[in-house]
Amino acid sequence: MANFYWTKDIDEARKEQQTLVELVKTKKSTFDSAHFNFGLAIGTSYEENTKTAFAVCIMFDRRGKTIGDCIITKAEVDFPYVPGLLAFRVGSAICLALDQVTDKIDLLLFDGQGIAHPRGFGLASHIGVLFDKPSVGVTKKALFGNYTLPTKGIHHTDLRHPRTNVTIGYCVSTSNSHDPFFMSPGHRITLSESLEFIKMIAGDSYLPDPLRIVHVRANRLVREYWDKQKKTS
Amino acid sequence: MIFSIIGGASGVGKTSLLRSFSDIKQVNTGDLFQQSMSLENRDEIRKGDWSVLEGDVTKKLADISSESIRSKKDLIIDTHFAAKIYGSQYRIGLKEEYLYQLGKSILKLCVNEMLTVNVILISADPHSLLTRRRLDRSRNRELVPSDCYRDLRYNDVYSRRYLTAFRRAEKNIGMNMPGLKMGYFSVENEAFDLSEMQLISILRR
Repeated sequence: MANFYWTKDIDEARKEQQTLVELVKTKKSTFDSAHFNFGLAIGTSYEENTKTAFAVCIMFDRRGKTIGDCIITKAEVDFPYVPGLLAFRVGSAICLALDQVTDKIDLLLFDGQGIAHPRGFGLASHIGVLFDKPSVGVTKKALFGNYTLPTKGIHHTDLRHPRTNVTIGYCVSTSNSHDPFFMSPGHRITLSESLEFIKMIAGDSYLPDPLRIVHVRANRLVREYWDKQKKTS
Repeated sequence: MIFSIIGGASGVGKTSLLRSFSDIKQVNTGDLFQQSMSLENRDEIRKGDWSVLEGDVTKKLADISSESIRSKKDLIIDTHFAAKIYGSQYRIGLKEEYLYQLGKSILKLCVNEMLTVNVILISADPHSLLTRRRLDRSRNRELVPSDCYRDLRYNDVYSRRYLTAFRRAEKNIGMNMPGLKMGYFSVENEAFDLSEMQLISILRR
């Protein structure tokens, strides 16, 4: 199996996004909610000292209940933190994980942006296109788009493109006690399908449950890894 | 005689489709470039400057074509309408001037003959191509995802220039060729059987 090439050049990375965005399909869905069996939640982190990217993935069912153990992969990547270019930092670690399980998965759920991105090509869209799988991106903060906060409880508001005012995602509240999160379709799923799906699996936390688990694990992993590196050196 | 130039992006399934036409003489321009460059690996061609060998390859193509015409046998030229040069930029597989020369040399030999010239683009959905390239075990290089899209797009654009070059050759040859037919076809290789049938209808008319 061929490995994907990830450029280390920032300008080239933006150009790659500008080309690949042509392949994003959010009107032509292949997602079938009725036959959804398993999703894969994907969290990532990056250890700056050792230039190591981590991906933590866990499968979940249609109720958002996680199944089995986390798959953890890491890759050495020297790419700076640039908002909007997360895929070039953590993409290779994610692909290593997806190569192991992608055939069993109906949807990829990312701790990252979908089309709500300056070039319409966030992490969820990028990896979704590479594997041609339905994908959705969810984040705690909005990188791109205008919105008004939804009222607490189970509500959502539109996340709109700043220039065209077209809806590119949603700001979703799932409880009275947490701040809302932001979501947008990545690839092969429509806006409305992605919203329905997120509501189906979300729970009442600050992120949909499977994502919260991988998000926490990925951040813990990066700290543990650096502690271990310090001890051994 | 049917003279066909069949091209498309690398991994589009061209070579697999052409296996069904093993009774027709086929020449692969990649092989000709590889021989001229004395390379062991085909993937190495696109990293270098293969343009210096275009003249040689065109001459070889003209010789092979002449031989086929003389023996009244159909010929398929298996090629890429667009190819990477210096490992980054895409350009036309053979410069239009060389295509014009090749066209002229073929047409001149068939002035009073029945000759069909086909330019056939094999294309695919970019997602399918990306998956095919990713799963291809024979590849020994990293896969640049945007190349799949660009390769398909440039092959589409440049394929039409192949036909234009041959039409220019026909125009400038200065002779009436009542037995000549030229056509452009696009075959989307999504379902192999369907694509094969489409190719049969073109190549075995």
